[in-house]
Amino acid sequence: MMEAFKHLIDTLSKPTILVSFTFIIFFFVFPPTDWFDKWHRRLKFDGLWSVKSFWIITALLVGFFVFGLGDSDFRSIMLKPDNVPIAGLIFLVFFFTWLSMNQAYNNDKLVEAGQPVDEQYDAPNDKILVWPDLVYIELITIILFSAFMLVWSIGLPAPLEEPANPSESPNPAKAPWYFLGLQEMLVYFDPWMAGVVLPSLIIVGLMAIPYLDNVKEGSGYYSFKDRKLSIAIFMFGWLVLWNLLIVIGTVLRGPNWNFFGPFEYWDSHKIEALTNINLSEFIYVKWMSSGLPGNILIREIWGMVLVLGYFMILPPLLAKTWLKNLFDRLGVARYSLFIVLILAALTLPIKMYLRWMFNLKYIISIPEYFFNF
Amino acid sequence: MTNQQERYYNILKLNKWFAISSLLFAFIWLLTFANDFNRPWKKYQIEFRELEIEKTRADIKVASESLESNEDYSALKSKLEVAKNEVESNQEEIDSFQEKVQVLEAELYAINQNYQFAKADLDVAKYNFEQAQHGHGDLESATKTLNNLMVLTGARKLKAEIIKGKVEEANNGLKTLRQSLKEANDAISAIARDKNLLDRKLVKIDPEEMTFSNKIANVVRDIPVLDFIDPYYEVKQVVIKDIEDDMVFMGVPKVDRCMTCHMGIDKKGFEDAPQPYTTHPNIDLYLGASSPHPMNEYGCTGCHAGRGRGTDFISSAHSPDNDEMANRWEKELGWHPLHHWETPMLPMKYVEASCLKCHSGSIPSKAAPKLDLGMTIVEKGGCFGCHQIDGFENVPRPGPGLRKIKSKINKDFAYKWIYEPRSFRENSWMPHFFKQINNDDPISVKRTDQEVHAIVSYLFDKSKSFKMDRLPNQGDADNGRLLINSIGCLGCHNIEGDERGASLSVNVLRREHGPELIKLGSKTTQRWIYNWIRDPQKYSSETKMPNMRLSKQEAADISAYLISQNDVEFEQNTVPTVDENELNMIASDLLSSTLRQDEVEARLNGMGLDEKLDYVGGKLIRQYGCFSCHNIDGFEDAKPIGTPLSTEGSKLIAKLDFGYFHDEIPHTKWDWFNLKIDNPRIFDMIPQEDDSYKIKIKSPLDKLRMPHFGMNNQEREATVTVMMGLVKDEIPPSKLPSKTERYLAIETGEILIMQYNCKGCHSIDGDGDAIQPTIASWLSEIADKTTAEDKSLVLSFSPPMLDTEGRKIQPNWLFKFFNNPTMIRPNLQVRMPSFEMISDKEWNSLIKYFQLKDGQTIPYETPHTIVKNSTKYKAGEVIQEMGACDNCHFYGNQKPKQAALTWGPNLALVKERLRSEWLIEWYRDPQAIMPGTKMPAPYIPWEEPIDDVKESWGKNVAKLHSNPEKLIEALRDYTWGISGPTDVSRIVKAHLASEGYGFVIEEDDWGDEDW
Repeated sequence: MMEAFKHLIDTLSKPTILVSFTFIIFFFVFPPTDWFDKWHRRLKFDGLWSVKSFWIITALLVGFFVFGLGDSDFRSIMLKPDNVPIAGLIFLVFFFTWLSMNQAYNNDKLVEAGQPVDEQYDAPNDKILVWPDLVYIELITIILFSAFMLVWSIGLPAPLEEPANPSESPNPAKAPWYFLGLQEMLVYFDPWMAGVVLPSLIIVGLMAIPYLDNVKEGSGYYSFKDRKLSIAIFMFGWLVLWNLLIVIGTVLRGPNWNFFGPFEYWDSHKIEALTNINLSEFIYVKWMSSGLPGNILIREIWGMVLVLGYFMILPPLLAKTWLKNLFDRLGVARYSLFIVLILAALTLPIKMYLRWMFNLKYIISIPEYFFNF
Repeated sequence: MTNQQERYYNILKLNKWFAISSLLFAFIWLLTFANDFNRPWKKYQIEFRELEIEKTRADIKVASESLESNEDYSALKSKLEVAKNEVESNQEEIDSFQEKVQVLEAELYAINQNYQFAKADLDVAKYNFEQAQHGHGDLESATKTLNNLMVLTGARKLKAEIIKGKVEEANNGLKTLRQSLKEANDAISAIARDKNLLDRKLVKIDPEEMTFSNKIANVVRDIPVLDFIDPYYEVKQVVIKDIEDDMVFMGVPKVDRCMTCHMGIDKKGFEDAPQPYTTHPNIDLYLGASSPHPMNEYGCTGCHAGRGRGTDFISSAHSPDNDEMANRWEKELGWHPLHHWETPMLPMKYVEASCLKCHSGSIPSKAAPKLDLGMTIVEKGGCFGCHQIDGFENVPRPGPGLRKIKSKINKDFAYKWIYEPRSFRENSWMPHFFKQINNDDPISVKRTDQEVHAIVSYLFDKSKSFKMDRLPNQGDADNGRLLINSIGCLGCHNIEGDERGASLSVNVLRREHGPELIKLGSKTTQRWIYNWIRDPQKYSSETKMPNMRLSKQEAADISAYLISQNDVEFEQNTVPTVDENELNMIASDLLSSTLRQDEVEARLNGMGLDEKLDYVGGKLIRQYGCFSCHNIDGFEDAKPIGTPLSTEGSKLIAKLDFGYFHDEIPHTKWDWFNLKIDNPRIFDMIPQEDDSYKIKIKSPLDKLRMPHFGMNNQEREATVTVMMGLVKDEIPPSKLPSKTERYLAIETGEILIMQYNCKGCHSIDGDGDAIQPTIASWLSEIADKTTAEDKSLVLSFSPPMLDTEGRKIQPNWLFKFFNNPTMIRPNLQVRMPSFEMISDKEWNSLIKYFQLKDGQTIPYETPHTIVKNSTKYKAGEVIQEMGACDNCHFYGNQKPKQAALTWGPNLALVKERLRSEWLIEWYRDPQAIMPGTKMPAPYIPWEEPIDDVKESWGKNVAKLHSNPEKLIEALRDYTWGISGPTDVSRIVKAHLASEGYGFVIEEDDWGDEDW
């Protein structure tokens, strides 16, 4: 029974299943449009943010960890001093997501009822006191946090690992936890894409948010109803493309960067078939059976057309069709920036699926000039 | 405008939160100190301190008891009382002296001060004077000042000296008055020195013995936070600058903190204390300040490995000896292996491995018997043949050469032997390649059946012919057996089946230098044996078998005996027929590594059966590495097939593939090595829950191929010890044994001695003489049991002991003897073989080994001369006569008077063979040089009254009577002068043939007097 459950969890943790499931469920939890919102309510997902759900989910999470720690493989992964913060991260991210969404839903209700929202204090001129209240609270927080850090450092001392050895790198060699999302992207992208271009875009995107988000409604307090699209997009980036990848990188990536279920033994000899081919090989070798052309341009023309089409043709098409409202609201400049950022972000799930389903390595592959996409 | 009272948070509530969090923080802050203070090693130090106090008290008790019972001590004590009284009676005088000294010293102090002032002024005046001379300032006044000050300084100095003198005088007076008291005190403290030291030690460590202020200090120094200044309980460590821990990017000086808990490790007297306080079991060899490996120069982890910087049981990477110990540690100490530390402590059973780091040239066999055994096994088993090991480059291949194999055995025997050597000879060193865990399934057996056919076919096809002489006659097997038992074959061979018994030692292995001589009737022909033992070099120039100089009849007798035994069961084993289809499969597997399938088929179609057999055989000899142990034509330059082992002990554990045995054995290098040797093919297998195995998917050529040596636990442990010792640690020259000429000569010599198995017959410095038990059993056969139990008799029939050989023998003679051994002890049946394969260079190395080992640094010396008509020589003659040396010794051709049993070397040999200085040493005390020898020390009458000596020994002895050294020299000079033929072998042979040894066979209870 226990073993069957562990096996089930291991199976569900397979990246294809886990990521697909997350993608599908995500938009019903954080509905970006009215249609999703309708189903969101119909499926009772709005109940997720009630206090009762909080306790149930927390209890489930705790229960899962308690159950999991009975398993030696799970224990050896989760109790690594380096990985304990990730377990904390799971709880914290859930807590703060719940907290903000809970407040947002409350505020939405208050607004509906024509009452002032929670954040509106009956203070003169809408001000609060830096001195003494804020500073005092911050001081208390500093003290408590310092105490917490001391306890942590005593209870979970820094681990002694092997001396660094260039001829014997650790397997798996993992980036610091906050970079595990980037390291996960390296599986699907060329290093300069995953390591340079996409991280830069993330920063640019974050900087652009205040300029792109021109919706005035629901601004200045927690709200959801008026900001569904913004929240869904941000949460998708934050929860799925960042935090989920960190958790996957920590818990589910084992020796040789192979995937392992949380209850699976990290066998460094596990073998996965990883023969991936490029789009050009699909077209010329598989479909046309003609061998790769020598000319780079001819060889990669299909990929280039595809990528150009994705970034150049898709945006105006969308502006005319699905995203007409959005386009009208944002105007050309904002819309262009917005859509390019969104499309760039979507390349990650797209490439994941292309890899899983077709063993596709690169859409454009010009190793001669170190350019792969 | 906000007013002062305006708040959005309840200030009282915030204050409360602040108070609570501050208290919490303060508490946790204290917790960090407590955590820092509370170190696991402290409780050991506290416990050891109690142990030490207890021990010191006990020691003091013993010391004072022995003092009390010491008469000198009580005498001194009463002397002290007297002296005290004396001083008391002179108290007045002493007081007056003391007063005087006080006054004078005060005066001297003042004068000295004034003198110093004047001297400083004088220096200024000197400077001013010189300046004035140079034209700056008034020369006249400067001169005046200078002169005045010179006078003043001089006067003050003089005065000071006068007072000094007076002080001295008064002090001397005091000294005289107190002289006797001081002397008594000094004498007492000299005699009670040990006790006083103990007292002083106790005061330092035992709070009960401390003064009040020290008691307080004792507590304060170990208070948390203050304990950084000078705590009693602290981490103890040695830092060894020139031995470095390898941190990959750099070497870090070794820091060993083991003695933080193992506090008694370098202190004698804690031998019976519980761990971790026990004294090192071999403190005279390790850790002791005067030992060759003092603690602060060698530390601990250099030999024991582990994490020297660790200060608790786990972080110092202790390793248990076995599962039982591991379980106990887990329960009692919460032990677990230190995961990331590459060099965990060596379990005690492998600790000798570390000796190899520095002593690889010459294994200290007494201190490291297991390592010595391991090195012997590596050599005998031929591990170095497949696995390159530094230091074994010049060791010859351990297996017999196979270049003339077809004259020795037939194909059937070869087949059965290769398939399963131990089914024929239980303790063979030839390992098993077939019927192993990864090739004993029916499909593999079908294949390996044909593989062996191919190998045999290759060997026989390449075999050259061997021209054999005819046997002179059938030979007498009984006589052959006696010859084998007596002439020395058993120094290198066994004949009586497995004799190893429970405990294996290097000495037991010396008798496995050559193969066990059993069941030869099933293996070869009498004619081959006859030819082989007559001249082994003729059959194989690479053989280590020496020539025993057997006569034709002796060789015939021995061969008749050896051929008489056979193994019917083994002979009845059938050999499967050659299966060409299976052979085709093997050949195509081998060919397809370089050829395409169509090419393979073409090649195979072009080959006949014999060709296929030869092709497959040759390839398989390379695959299995047969050439690593045997000389085979066509494989002269073949490269070793195994993993090089020269730094195997330093291999990262991640590089060892535990495969599916990850959970079956502990994750250590030694457990991996042990399993690998125990069952070399095991890592091809997948263990099942019912203890059976399933095999991994592997093509036959990819399977593990290390053969199975059938080693027992002790052999494996010894071998793993060697492997753990093969490390890449860089040892600074200062820590290595210094490479003196002597050291190098001994190193070279020991390699040769091991290679030619000299210690199979000879004992050198207490090691060797493996043949001795067989000599005893031979004696019990030709004489009786009592004879065989007489140790000195057995010794007199055993090959000579070679202690002091370097001081004993003249090198030119030894060199001649090596090349052409001749009879020395006439009663011996054991023969020194002719080692025809040893070169002059190697003989020279051996001679140098003996000489330098025994402190004989110069090879060539002026010959000793004697004067025949001197008093000395004539005295020697008398002593010789009185000692009846001719009872046992030949004098040239002159036969000894007693029976052959007690015969000693021909004294005509002395002059050319022995060194004159050694002869003196020998006459003085033969037992000291050769314990158990039958040679008695010659009687020298120097303690008898001179008149008696004159009467019975003559005037020449009487002249030298007072000087025993001269008398011994006299005997030496006489024996030096004995001349005559040196070769008495014919006489001896004739005598033994007619009269035998003359053993005294005890049939009744005869007293010693009767003999």
